[in-house]
Amino acid sequence: MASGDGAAPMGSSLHGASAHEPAFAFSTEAGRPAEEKDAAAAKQFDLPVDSEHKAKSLRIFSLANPHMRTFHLSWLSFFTCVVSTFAAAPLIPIIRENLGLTKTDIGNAGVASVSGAIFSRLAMGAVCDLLGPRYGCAFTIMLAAPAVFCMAVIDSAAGYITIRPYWTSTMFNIKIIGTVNALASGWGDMGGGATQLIMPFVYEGILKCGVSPFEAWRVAYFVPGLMHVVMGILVLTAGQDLPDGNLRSLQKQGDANKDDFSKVLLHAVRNYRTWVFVFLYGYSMGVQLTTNNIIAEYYYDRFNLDIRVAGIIAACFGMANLVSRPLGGVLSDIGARYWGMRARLWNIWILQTAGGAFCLWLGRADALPASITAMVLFSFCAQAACGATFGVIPFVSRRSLGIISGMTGAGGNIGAGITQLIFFTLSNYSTGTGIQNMGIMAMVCTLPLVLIHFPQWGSMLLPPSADADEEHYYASEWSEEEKSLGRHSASLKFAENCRSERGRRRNAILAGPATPPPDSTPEHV
Amino acid sequence: MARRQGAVVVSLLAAVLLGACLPAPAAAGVQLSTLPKALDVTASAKPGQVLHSGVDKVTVTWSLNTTEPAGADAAYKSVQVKLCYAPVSQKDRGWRKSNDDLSKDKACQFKLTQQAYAAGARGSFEYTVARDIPTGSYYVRAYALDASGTQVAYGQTGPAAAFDVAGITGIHASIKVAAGVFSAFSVAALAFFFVVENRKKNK
Repeated sequence: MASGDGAAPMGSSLHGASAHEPAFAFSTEAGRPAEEKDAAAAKQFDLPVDSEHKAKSLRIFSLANPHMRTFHLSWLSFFTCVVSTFAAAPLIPIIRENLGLTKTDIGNAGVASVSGAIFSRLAMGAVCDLLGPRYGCAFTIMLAAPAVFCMAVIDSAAGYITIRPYWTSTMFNIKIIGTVNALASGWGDMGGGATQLIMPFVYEGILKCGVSPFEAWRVAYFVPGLMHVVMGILVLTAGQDLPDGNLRSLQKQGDANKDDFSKVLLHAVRNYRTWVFVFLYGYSMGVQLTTNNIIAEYYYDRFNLDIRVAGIIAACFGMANLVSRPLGGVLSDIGARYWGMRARLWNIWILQTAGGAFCLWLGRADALPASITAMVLFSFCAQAACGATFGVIPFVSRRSLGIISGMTGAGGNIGAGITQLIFFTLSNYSTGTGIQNMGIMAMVCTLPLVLIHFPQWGSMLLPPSADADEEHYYASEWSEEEKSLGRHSASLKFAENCRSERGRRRNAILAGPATPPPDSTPEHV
Repeated sequence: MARRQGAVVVSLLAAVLLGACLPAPAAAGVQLSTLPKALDVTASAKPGQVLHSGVDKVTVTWSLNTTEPAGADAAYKSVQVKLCYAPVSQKDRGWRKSNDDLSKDKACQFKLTQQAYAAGARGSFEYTVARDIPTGSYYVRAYALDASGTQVAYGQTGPAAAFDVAGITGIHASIKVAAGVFSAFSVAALAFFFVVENRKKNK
């Protein structure tokens, strides 16, 4: 700590030997001790920041660079992509007539619209880790714009953005990470509901100008297409990758380490927790995506409602994302304050199972008020579960966060595609029965969550191991060679910041003996 | 937390109220099977003929069926002519399903005309196929309505004999051009930023 020349101070190989070692026993940045750097950072940013320059709080109505601006760009760009993906859903009654679609065609289009995004979500994680989320976002959104403009028969909605959980994860501190990710994602997902209102409104407006229906819906499609272009330009001009600047310039300065893609992928794939979440997310987000596709038609057919009323009800399902997904994140953060990671896991399980139960009720309900109530409760729980899931994902890995986020998101889409296929396209039974079965499947497939175990924090049913700590878990992703080069410094900073995941009681116990002053040399150990 | 709970409760209440305010399902309508097939309806389009929407016309004529006793049409005040999907166009498309209950029937969605009925005379109507009629096979059905607007009799040209309609695609040259221009702009803008920033980085 006292050395000013960047060389590792004496005794640094004993780092981690005692639990009270400060996390910055050595540093790869040139020169200044940590305290000076923090003071400089505090002056530079509008929001209070931690040691990684991540913001410690959220101010929604601010546009301050870089934290709040990232947040707003993030949810807006995701919102744009969701709007264009589901832009067809409310206009299906017109489109199916114009293009002569059959029930099978529409079902396949629904499956394709969510499946097409699977590959892009997987790719996004890798792109973010290597190029930075700003370019990842811009690439996806602007390259998808032609697809929207060309109004493909099968919605080629490749513009799903996975970066929003990644991007906000690098900008916001652990304690509020659940809230932030969930807000950005939730407001983006709200696009699914917003589009059910926006598209018919635009379409009706164009109709009034005297255009015939089969032309009007095509012109209406320019709205999401233009949103794509505008958002892409905004992201490129106003966004930045990390709190300290853009990824490429930081890489040049040597501050941000360029990582090896195959290693990042390896660590993502070898961590079993990744696969559990990939599977699980299909039954919160996947179920939500499928429902977005079929719910308007369901209300139109089962209750003989007018197509516009059915569209409004369908919009309510998606618009609930405005509060429900952030609610999931907030619950996750609040639970973590008292009981740490275990609360976050229980939170996911409770919400996702309740969502499945309400989905079952929705399929069975025969009276309209009961059906709508079931739908609203179902939407709250499923969407909150999505938010809660991304409150845990940032902790699974620090090195491979981008890829894991991408894989989880892709899992959501895979789940959506499979669900839509088995229950609504290939099936011979009614949509109502399909919804019931979807609910049952969601409840059953949430059980694997009990398998998620963090040695330092525990799992749903098991307590943490006494000798495990956060540094060990995150540093284990780096080889000894990489550690000796100091490449894992960011992971160590992260580990220190997420000690709060132990929950209040355990942190109080640990704080008992006084911590040694930062500049005491480890020779005394 | 209490604020969020409050928001949840309010939204739930709103949803339930919305559900309660929605119109109650309509009372069951007239059953088609109970109606007499008292009208003799013909259409000028021959079975298998293709009509182009917005361009071609079809003339529909109706009169009292000769098998009916004279004076049976005393109650008929007006005639409503509709275009109905032929079975081949209904296949695999649940939203075009026929239903005996006329208030739930979705097979006859396009109203061609509603005009007064002259007893004992032949009525006719010349219809230009509208631009929002989708491609498919159709036949014509005419309902006789009484003074209150309820169907009391009907006649139809199908469903066995059906003519085809070729609908418009809705794609204009201007739409194609606009789509092309915006797409190209989008890709070009992205490439521009990428190249410029790379140059700046390498300087």
